[in-house]
Amino acid sequence: MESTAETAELAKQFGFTINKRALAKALKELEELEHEAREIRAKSTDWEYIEKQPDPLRAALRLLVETGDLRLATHIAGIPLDELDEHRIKAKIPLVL
Amino acid sequence: MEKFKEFEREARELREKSADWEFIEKQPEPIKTALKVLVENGDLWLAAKISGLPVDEFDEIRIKAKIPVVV
Amino acid sequence: MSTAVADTCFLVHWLRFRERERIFEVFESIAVPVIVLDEMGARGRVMLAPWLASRRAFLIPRINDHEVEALRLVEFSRSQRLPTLDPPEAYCLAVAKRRGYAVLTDNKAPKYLAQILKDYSTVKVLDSLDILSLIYGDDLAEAVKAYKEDTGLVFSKTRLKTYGINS
Repeated sequence: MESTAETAELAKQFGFTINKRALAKALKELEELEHEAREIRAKSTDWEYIEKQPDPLRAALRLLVETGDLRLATHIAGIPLDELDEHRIKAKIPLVL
Repeated sequence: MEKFKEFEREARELREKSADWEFIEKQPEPIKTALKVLVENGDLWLAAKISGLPVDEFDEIRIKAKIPVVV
Repeated sequence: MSTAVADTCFLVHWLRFRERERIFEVFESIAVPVIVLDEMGARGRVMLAPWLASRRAFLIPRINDHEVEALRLVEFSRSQRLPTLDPPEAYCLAVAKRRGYAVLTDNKAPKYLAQILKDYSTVKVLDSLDILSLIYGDDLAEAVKAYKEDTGLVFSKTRLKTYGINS
């Protein structure tokens, strides 16, 4: 994992300027949020519903529980995003904001 | 501006009167909603976008639904 | 009142909400990139249609300048420590910066990028909780409960505390 300095250098290569303090704060917040989110998803999920689904939908829902990434799961499932969101709700997988 | 509003009102009335509502109600979503939007505001491109179909395919359905494009 | 450009990952949730129309108390209009509409299936399109028909929402075409900027953002966001930006979110950010719109998304990546990139520091990125708070003010707790029922979204305890809600 690169340091803040490395991220700033990478940003420069793309023509961006980084606010380093904001980056450090963002990374800390993200880690805390992700930890809370993963716990909530694991606790709420209806695994019985997920296991009844055909692949690739089943794989997509498992990925969603793991990562919370709705769009990525949509790409795996190969269905429109709002359709996957219907399955998400039926599978009781919360999205944590 | 007034002339344009009058034209729009007449066009909408014509579309509402001509449309085959039985055909429209039989369509699957989102095509059904898209046809209703077309009757309401006459915007073929917008209605095609809502339907998710290419414009020419949606236009075929428009014709079957007897919704005129008023020029 | 202003305009906001909406990502799919906000729209699919907000359009389920029983009081979705109240977003127009915050924004005069909602811009929807066609690439966002393209991600939606039947349900999403049916829910969005009345807004488009009444012109409270409007479609933004694909514009090369925005796509080039979006690619720049996507490539940078692949940096390991940051959440990866998806192309539609990147597009929304690029449009928002150019046009002075707010961005509506329930994904974290755009929010954090707007915080850390100086070029994007003027772009407001708002998620469902932010919008609920702007609309409901002191009645936020009830609204959060209703939103959770309608969408299956949960808000982080830390964030809710900042709004004075202890869950």
